[in-house]
Amino acid sequence: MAVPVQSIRSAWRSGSWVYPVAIAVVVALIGMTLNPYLLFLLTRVVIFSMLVAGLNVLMGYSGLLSFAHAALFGIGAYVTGLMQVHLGVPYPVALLTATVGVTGAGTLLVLPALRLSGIHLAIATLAVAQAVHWVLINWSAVTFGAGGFRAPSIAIFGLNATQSIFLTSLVLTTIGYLMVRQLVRTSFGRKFVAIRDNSVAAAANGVNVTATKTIAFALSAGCAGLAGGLYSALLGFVAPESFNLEQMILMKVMAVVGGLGTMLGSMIGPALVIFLQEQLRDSQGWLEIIFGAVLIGFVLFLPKGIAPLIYRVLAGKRTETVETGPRTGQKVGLSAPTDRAVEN
Amino acid sequence: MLSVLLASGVANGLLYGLVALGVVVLAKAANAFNFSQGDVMALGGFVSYAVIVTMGYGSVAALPIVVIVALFVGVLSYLLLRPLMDAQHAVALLTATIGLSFLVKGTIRLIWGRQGDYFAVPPLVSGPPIILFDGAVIIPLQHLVMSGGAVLMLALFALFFRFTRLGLFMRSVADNPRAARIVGIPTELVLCSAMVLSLVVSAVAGFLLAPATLIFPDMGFSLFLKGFAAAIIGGMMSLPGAVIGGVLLGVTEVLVSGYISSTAQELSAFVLIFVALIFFPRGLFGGRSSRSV
Repeated sequence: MAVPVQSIRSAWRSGSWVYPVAIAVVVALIGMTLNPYLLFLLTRVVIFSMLVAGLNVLMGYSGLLSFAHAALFGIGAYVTGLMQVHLGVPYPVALLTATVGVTGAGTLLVLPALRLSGIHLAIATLAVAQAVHWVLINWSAVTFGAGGFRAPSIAIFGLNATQSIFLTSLVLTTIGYLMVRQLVRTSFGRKFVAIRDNSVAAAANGVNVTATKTIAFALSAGCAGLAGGLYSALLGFVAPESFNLEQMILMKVMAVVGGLGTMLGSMIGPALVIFLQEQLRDSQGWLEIIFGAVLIGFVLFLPKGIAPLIYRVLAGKRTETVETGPRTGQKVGLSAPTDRAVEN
Repeated sequence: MLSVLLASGVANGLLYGLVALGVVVLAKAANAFNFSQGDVMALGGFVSYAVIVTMGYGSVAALPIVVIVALFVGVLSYLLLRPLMDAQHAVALLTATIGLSFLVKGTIRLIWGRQGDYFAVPPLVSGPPIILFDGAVIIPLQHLVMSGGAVLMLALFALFFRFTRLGLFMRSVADNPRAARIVGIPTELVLCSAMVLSLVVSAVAGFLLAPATLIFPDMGFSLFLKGFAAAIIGGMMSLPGAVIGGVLLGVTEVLVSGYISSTAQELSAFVLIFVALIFFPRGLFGGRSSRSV
């Protein structure tokens, strides 16, 4: 684990944390002036940004198709809420337990991922997700069944509940974002991309495929668990339908719209999708049609999502997409592309 | 008890088998998977509801209309997804078909009502169940008709692949698209007809399933999941295997629901899917293969 420590130190010195932190501070200042409804939406965007950043590590960087994220997100929310309700544990302890627990559960998901890839992995994780959803509905003695339960909200610094969870989510998401971004910039990030593009070639070059996949799953599950715990305190009410397949597909739309394999996309995607979702909340049918069309449209016409467009506008800035590195089978000269990729 | 359970298990299983056939056809010809298959199956049910209940025609009139709607949806899907139908775009295609599934489901919901609305389609035939061996074996007529329809579809499929040039073309395109194009096989036509066929067979399965259950807009996805599971159990590349896998899944489900708990029925399907994927990723009949990474 020496590499991450070193890279965190170098990240600190390079000052690459300044922009995200500055943006977070601006968002915090704006957020505190908003009315409760808009603040609720903004908090959802913040929480989903963390979730999608984790999903992106798995889907965008490592190329592993997982449909279990809504379920992991749900487990995070349920564990956080239920520990407070049943055991009377304070929120921070419940949140931490949920994050650790979901990281563990997500790590177990790597077992199918070691044997399966592509559609088969997608279906296996789908089956797991549906099974988790089934348990949430049918294990009524613990989970309160299909009707859900009231989860405690939190209050810090004498602020109201929404403001408290907003600030907590913003701080944790910013930290999580910086850590994940740093990790994908190190050799780990290149390993993720290597197993995505060609796992056999990656293994031949000394990448431990099993370990890399495990880390990708653990990291992304940890994000989902933490996001779930925050979400339970935001909603104040946890029910299985918040974590069903439809939610999973919306998360996928967020990742695709924002831009797979870009960290910036993890922020843009949730913002756009949640905005659109609020516009369409009156008609489930139109919501499905429009999100379906958006997903197809992006895959066909803008497969890299919105983030690369923004990077292009900020041309000259260093980009963070994984696409800047050489692809499998691409011929690279002795000069620029590889060097730049390593520097990133 | 057992015979009724088995009859409904086999009947449901044959319908899963039909969806699995659609999965296998598309996988064989195009190396592709289409998440919207389940929703097109639901669409088949809703179209037959519209024809039989809303318009008041008979079941016989519903079938051709279901097929025509499915043909239409199939061709549109192909035209939409054509740029993605090659090996480099496998994951993108998968994502796009998830979008397609949402589109179809949303359309069903817009036309036929809000979430949570359930519709009943009258049975294709009505009459007393068939009783054999002095009541030891009872087979509900409805299940017999479902099974009969499914078997007929399976037979048509087998004949199609055995005796038509298009069936042969499909196999060759699946084997090596480039070589197939070089020797003059109309690849586009093959890919298009694979997409259309897989959706038509799903829609017909929906037509057969509708009278035996309540239909609702969200029904499609778990049906696709089960059809896919049946295809995996059957080895993904084998048509008879897909049908056997479907029946196995259907029978397991009803046995669990009959003897253990009806709420556990759904769960049993997911457990079976998971176990099949982990331990028999090449199907019960597929060969072993080794892979190091």
